[in-house]
Amino acid sequence: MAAINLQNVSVSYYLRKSRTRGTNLDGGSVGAQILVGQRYLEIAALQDVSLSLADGDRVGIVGTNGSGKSTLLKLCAGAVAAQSGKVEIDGVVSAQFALGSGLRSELSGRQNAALKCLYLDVPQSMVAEYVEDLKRISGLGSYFELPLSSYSAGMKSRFVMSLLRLVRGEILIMDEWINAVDPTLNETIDSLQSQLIERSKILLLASHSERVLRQWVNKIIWLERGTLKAFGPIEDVLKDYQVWMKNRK
Amino acid sequence: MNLWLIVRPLLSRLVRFFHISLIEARSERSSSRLGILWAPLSTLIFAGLLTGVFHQQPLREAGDFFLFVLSGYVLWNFITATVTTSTTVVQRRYDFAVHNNLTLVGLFFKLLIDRLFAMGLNLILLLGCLVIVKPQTIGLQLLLLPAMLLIMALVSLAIAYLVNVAVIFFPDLDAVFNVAMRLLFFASPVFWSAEAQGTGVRAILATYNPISHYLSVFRQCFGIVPFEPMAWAVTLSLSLILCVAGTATYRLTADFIRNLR
Repeated sequence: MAAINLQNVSVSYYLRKSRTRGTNLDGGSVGAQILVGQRYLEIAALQDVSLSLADGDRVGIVGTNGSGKSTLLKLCAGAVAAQSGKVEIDGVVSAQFALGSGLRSELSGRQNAALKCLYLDVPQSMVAEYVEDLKRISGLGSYFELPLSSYSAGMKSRFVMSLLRLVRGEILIMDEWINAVDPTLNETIDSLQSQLIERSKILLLASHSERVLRQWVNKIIWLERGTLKAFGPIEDVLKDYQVWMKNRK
Repeated sequence: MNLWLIVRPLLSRLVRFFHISLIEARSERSSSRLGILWAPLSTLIFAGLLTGVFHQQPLREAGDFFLFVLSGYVLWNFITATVTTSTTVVQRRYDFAVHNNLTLVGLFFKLLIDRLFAMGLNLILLLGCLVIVKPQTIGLQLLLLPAMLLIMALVSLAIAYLVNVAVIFFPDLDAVFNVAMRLLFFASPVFWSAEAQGTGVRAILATYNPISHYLSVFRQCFGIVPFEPMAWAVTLSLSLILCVAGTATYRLTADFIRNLR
C-alpha cells in the first residue's frame, strides 16, 4: 500500500545574498514570498501544506508560476527537505521531474540509455536488453550511437520520450508530461504512459494542460504562492481554478 | 541471513555505481586509442619522473624508491581527488543527481565510487609493478589492504562532505583547498622519506602531517615499508574523528543544503 501524508509542511529555498542580489526585492504577481536574512534570502516555497494521498489517487497539481508545484513534487520525492511539519511517504517513489534532464550531451544515445537504466534501477543483467528496446522505441537508428549533442530537437525529444520505458514505482511523480511532438510516436508514447499509470499506485503530476489533467487525474491540488488553495475532485477544483485565473487576468 | 539481506542491496548498488563509473570513464577518454588506460599510464609516467628527479642513490635502491613513490602517488591521487572534486558537489551536481533518482548521500556515494574506480586502475598498476620490480615484498600484509581501502573510503566520504559544506558556507575556500592540496603534495612524504634525516622539517612533517600516516599504512599493506602498529593506531583514530565529524555535519546541514539554490 502506498501513501503520502503531509501535515503542516513548510519548505523554504535558500539563496546566498550578494551585492547585487537581495537589495531590491519588490513583490511580483507570481512567486513565493522572499524573506531577507542576514546571509541568505529565504524563498518560502510551501507554507503550512497538509494533505493525504492513498492508493488509487491520480492527482494533478495546478497553480501559477512559482506557486510551489515543483517544490511539492520534489518534497514528495525526498529531493528537498521540509523546514517544519511532518512528511510521511510509504512506497517506492519514482520521480521524473524532467525526463530530458540528467542526460549527458557529450555521450551517445546508447551510453545515455545505459546510464539511465543503471540510475533508474533496471536489473543489471537486463540493461543491454532495455537499451536495445529503447533504440527500437526511439526509432533513432544509427543516430542512437552518436552523441546527444548532434541530435536535432526532434531527435532529442524522441530519445527522451523513449526513456518512459524505464520509469517504474508505486508513487509516480512527474513534473512535465510527455507530449509527443512527432505524430508517428503518439501511439507508442500513449501506450507507455498508460502502462506507467496502471502500474503506479499514486500518480502526482504537475501540468498546465487541461487536456492532460482531464485524461489522467481524478483529483487536483491547487497551489498559490506556496499555500494550498484547494484539494479535491478534478471537476470542482479545476473549475474554481479556471474562474480564478480568468478573473485574475 | 538478516545480514545478507542488509548487505545485498548495498553490494548491488556498489556494482551498479562501478558500472556507471566505467561507462563514464570510457566515454571521457573515448577519443583516445588507449582510453581509460591513460589513467594508470599517466600515474606511471609521473611516478617514474619523480623517481628520476628525486632518487638519492645512497639511501634506497632505484626500484625500491620507485615503488615507494608510486605507492605514495597512487594514494595521493585518491586523497587529492577527494578534496578537489568535492568543493562544488551540491552546487553543481545535485540537480543532475535528483533527475537520476539519487539522494544527497547517494550522490556523494556515487562520486566516491568514481574515485575508487580510478584508484582501482592505479592499484592494478601498483600490484603489477610490485610483481615485476620486487615480488618478494608481497606477503600476508596484503590482507590488510581491504581494511585500508574501507577506512579510506569512509574517510573520503566524510572529507568530501565536510569540504563541500565548508565551501558552501565560505565560497572562497574553494580556491584555498586547491592551493592547499598543491602545498600538501610537497609537505607529504609522497616522493621523499624522513627515514634518513631523523630530525628536521621532514621528520616533523612525517610525524604531524596526518597524510603521512595514511601513506605509511598504505605502503605497509604492500610491504614497501615495515609494519608499524603506531601508524595504524594514528590512522584509525584520525579516521574515526573525521567520520564522526562528517556524520555530525551531515545531520546538522543536510536539510539546509538540499534546499540551497
